Amino acid sequence: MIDLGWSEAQTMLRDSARGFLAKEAPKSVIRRIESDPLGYSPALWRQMAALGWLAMPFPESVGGVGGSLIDAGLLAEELGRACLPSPYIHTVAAGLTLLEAGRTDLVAKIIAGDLIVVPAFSEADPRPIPSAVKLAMTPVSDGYRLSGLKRFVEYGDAAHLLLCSGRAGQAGSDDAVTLMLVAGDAPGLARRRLATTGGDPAAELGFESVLAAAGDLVGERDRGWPIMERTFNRLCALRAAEMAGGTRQVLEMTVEYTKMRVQFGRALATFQAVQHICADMAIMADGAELAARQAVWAMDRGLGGNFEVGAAKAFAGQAYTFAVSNAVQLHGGIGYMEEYDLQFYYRRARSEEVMMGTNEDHLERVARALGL
Amino acid sequence: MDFSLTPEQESFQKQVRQFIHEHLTPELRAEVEREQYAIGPLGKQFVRLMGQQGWLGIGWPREYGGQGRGAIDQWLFLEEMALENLPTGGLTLNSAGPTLMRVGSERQKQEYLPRILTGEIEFAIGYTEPNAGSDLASLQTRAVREGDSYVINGQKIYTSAAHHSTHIWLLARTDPKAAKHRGLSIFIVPIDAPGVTVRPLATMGSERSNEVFFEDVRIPAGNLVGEENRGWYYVTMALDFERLMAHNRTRRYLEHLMDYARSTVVDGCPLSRHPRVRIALARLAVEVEVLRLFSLRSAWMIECGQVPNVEASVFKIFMSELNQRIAVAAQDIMGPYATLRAEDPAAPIEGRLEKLYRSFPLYKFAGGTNEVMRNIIAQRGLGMPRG
Repeated sequence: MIDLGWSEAQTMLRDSARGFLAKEAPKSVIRRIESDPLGYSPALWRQMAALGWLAMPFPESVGGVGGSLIDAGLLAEELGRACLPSPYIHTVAAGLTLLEAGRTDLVAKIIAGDLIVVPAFSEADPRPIPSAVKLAMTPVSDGYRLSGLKRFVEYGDAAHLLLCSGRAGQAGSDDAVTLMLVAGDAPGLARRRLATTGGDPAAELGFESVLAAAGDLVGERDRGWPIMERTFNRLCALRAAEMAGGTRQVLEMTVEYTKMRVQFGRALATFQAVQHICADMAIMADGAELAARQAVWAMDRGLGGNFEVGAAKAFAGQAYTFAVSNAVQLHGGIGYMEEYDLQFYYRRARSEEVMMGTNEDHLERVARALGL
Repeated sequence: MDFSLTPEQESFQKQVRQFIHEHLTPELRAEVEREQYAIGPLGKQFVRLMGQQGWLGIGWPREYGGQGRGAIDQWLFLEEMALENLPTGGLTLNSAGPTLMRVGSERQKQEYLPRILTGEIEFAIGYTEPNAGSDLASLQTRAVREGDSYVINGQKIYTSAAHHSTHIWLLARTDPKAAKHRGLSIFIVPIDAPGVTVRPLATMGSERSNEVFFEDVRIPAGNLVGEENRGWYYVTMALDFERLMAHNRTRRYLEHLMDYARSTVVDGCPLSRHPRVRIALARLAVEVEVLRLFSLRSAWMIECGQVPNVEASVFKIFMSELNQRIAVAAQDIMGPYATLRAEDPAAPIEGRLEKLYRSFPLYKFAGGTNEVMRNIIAQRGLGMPRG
């Protein structure tokens, strides 16, 4: 039955999450995280685990709270509003894949806040298509040896565990992808934080004969593409939710600022030119929210989601960058200052728009889903 | 959070599709393409048929002969009709009818409501005047009480439905001394009343519109709707009944363009395989999906007993500007073929995208200009002060 609203419990969760993030993750904390080599706050991560955020999408049988991906999407919106760098959506997306692969031992650690797992799919060619997966996974007697490069892996240098895509077959079809778990501190793995616009901790991972045990295989050898695609879709749906939250926050900050800022003897918000830009931001924010929520819902329902997620990631990306560039314009000089909060969103919006598949990459996925 | 229909809603949707499949003849299809927002003889027949089916009043309360269906059902119905560009009774059903239910006299309810549901009565909305567009409350058409009658003098313009309607739903000034919003009243004027003259206006989008002149038109005092000088209040109240809007007309334009791209081979492969075209089409498809979500949101809010005021403005702006983007993309993709009109034998997709270029400006100013809509979003939605 059509229901586009949050339930009572979800509304409470949203309010408590917003309160928590306002108190514990103000911009002073984010500033510190951005200059910290870890790229996230372990203290906040433990608090999030204590609040049950990491248990949210997992069933009670494995120690979760039996919530849904929709609850995680709601939290992603709040994380986006707060602009908090955190491997939350990554760990949720990878964790659900581990759950499906029967690795309840790892899921229990995720829920406890002891394990950060991130998908490591992107390479030198960062497009989200099977042919871009090149990392070599050479079968050896006791497992696989991994050699190659991953790049633009968010939280790749801080994660305890990496869900890596690669190729274990000789040649085979594009879809013959294999998924493997690799410890973040595995010998032969060189991790380097990339210097990005967003200050979000994307990393480059160099694999030089990294050994993975046969038991670290996720799914079947050469048959990992559907799992990778599902993981990617969940991740991108949650990313769209983050971006939708960021877009809404930036709109609200801008409306508040223009109400308060007086020029020519009147508040900026009384000028129609200003109102109309804010109205356009509101249209984009509404669209991003609806598209993101539909994408998260589709993944929660176990639908393929290529269309819904592609649409949500592309539209939310467009909405977020539209909002931040107009927000900076309407703020004028103050919005451009490093000490003012808006700059976090301005930089993050662009990074999030192009990471995990650019708008065009996702539009190409939409085109395929439509049979073009 | 749930984006799916109930099994009952799905089966209703199928039923509507089946009905359309049975009754949409090639002749009717040709007529609706030709007439656009006007309704020709076959369209009228179709509307009556829907009346017999009980579907003109799907959202009306049962006590007035409707089916009392929820907003989601109504939305599904409108979407299916819009996909085929079929008439649904428009403002007569969604604006005039519900207003009569709320404030009409017993006699008016008995006289008009049943015949609206059979498709016998259709109102043309007579609001806009040459000097009263966005500032509607400044209108000057006068209605003066003389004994048991009102005498009407003045002029309306862009009265698009006047030439196929039976009555005009007229907003006129009854108290010239009162503040401009407080001196207006609504009247029902038969289109054939002596002194009413309908003059055609042709649009660049090939629609027919009209000017309507009133010269000493005398109507019974009983044709006043509700109370005198409360007209503005009724008009704004009626706007709340019109928040349900279908997005499928826009989807249809994009589907035409996709069909063209799939079937037109350039440099050895269909245009739909050329990256530039694929991306352009996918971008529009995403926006059409967002538009669908906007229309769904309004329907859902009405279903929950809320009035989607700001949300309807969001839909309207996005829909009208998306129509423009589709028309412009069609020209980029089709090149000079996008300029061929329906009557030209070489015109692709029956010239429908050519026509869209000529008609998209209509969507951006009709039914409240997008500028007024943006004011609504900013002021009511975001709480920004009036300038």
